[in-house]
Amino acid sequence: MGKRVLVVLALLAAALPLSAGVTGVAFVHGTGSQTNAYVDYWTTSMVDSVRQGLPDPSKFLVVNCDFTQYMWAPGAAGCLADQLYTFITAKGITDLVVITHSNGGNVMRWILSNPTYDWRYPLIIGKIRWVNALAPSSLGTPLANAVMAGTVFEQSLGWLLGYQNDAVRMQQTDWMAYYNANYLLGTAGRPSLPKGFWDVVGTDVETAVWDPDSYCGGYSLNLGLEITQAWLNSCSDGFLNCTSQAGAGTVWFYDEDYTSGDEPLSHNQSRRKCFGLDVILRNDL
Amino acid sequence: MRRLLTFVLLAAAAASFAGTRAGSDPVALSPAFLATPAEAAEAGLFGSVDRTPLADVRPVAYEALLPEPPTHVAESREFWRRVSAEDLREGVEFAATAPEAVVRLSPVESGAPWVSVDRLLVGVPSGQTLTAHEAFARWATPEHLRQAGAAFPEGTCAFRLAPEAGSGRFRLSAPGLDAPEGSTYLLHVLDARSDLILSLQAGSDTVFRGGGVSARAWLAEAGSFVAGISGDAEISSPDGRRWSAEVRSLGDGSVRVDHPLRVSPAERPGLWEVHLRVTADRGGERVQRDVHTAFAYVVPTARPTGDVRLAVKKGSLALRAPVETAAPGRYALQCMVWATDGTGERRPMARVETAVWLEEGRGVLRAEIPAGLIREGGFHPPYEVRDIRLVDQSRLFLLYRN
Repeated sequence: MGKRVLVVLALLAAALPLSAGVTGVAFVHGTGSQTNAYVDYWTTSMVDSVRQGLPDPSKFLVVNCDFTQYMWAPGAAGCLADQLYTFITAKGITDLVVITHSNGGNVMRWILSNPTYDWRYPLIIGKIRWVNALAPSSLGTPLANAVMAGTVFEQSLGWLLGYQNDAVRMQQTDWMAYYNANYLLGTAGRPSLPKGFWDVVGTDVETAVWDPDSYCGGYSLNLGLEITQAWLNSCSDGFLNCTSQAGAGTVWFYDEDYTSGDEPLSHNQSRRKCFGLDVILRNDL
Repeated sequence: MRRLLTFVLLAAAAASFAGTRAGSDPVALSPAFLATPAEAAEAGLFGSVDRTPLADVRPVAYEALLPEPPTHVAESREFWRRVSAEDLREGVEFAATAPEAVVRLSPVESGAPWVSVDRLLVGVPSGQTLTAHEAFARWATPEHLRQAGAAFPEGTCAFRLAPEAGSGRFRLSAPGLDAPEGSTYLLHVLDARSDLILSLQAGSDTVFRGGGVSARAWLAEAGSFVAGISGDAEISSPDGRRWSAEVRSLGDGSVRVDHPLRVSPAERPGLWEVHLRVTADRGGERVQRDVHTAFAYVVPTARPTGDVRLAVKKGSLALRAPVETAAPGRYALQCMVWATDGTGERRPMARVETAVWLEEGRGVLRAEIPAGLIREGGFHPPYEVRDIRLVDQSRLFLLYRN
């Protein structure tokens, strides 16, 4: 993989092995408010498999924040910064790999893009080796537009205000176009991010009832994705177009290029131990 | 000491509807005036209130700078309308211009009972009435959508019409729907395979307080404008205020939405939106499309009062940007500094960002590019500052961009 080659070159050039530091990994969930993302969002089997790639597997963090809020909000980027800062300083982390899923990539990108917004950000940015962004919603999703549809012409004021959380509102494609152009880095036409932001792109949803692969991550989850995919392009993971997932940073790989059996990763599967994704992430630490 | 003047911070042209930007030059943005302290005080502190001065200076990978994408154009093959339970029992009609349209039904009030997707009947263009099993290629129950993480309202069901159902006018009914009087639903149709697309583009992604929002829209099919469209438009704020906006037909078949915004800022963070609904006659069939696009409504809480100046100091490069503020807050300067590299090529040398808390009145934002960064990159004068941005981080207002 190109990314790994780059790493080797960087190591040779710098003659400064990363293993000299203390490596840690942080898992950053997507939209939603989590209190036990280790179990509920990622599943223990996924996290525990990935962290085996660390020299010390205890140096991991599963972030729990309220990502129903706008990315910059205290409960979102503020909470994420809090937990990353505490993890880095308490565990002495000098080399941090961050694994994000979906909207977690946007919250992480807020921190990377706005280094002067918060006193904790510079230290966090400085310690990050890179971000592995699993199915990041970098350009938003037409599905968020669809979810918000009808809220103005059709609905009352109360509906308009209380109907959806701010994170869904923010991931509408027109909103993300604004934030990418003005507050976030790493998309076309904008300066690059200070650290690598490597996209893992999910390209399809498979829901054949006879196909056991459809059951990884939950069969009924994928049934819903088959309908939501109608709002998306032919290349999508059921939630996000491939163009959105590849819209910021650099594409690390498209699912079928590296997954076991060349299987696609639906949006729910890209945060689960499906088709060897955990091993790919583990080997990247 | 050698002082190098850079670009003068002047207002620039309004954003063009044409949309395409050359190179990486951003669409310029500059407030015509500074808000009064009273106006500035109306803007909520939704962003950073950190008082720590911070600066970030880092080299830029020239290769990573891609051309600026065109100004966002929102596109829609969708439309929606509110229907009552009684309407649904009797049958509601909708037009799809292509096969395999996707339809969702969402209860509008939390008390409205869910519609059983597998009990729906569909009158198809051929005149037949089909059951769900016959008419739908796929469907999703509220439980399917909830488990998939799709954030539709509780009780939402959706289906995709089978290719054999064709295109044209459909009649959807839920004959057994047992719902209290007044129950309403949102009927949302995605004409997914249609070539009929409504596009909407705002004249600028930012409207300063006291200014006006304008946007242009066009309904096109296979690259040609559809003539004779009519529409309604609304502007909405993040705190739920709404205003009807004027929709004017332009000579080329497109329409223009205009509305002055001499209103107070929103009491909630977020973007404002222009919403447009158009209808058109297409071969005797009345078709509808809905679309929206977002913009920022900004109170000009600060403005540049002079050039960003560069001064060489013992090999490093000091930046100094004078500003005037209408309210206390955390203000940030962002810019790219260009220089000549060892091969004689002009290229970006560093991205600079500096933020500090400023009280009301005049202030200065400062940063320094270290000598090491300049030396290691083999850079030399002339230096110039590009893509200058002034941000009110406390209120999340982008105030200046040039």
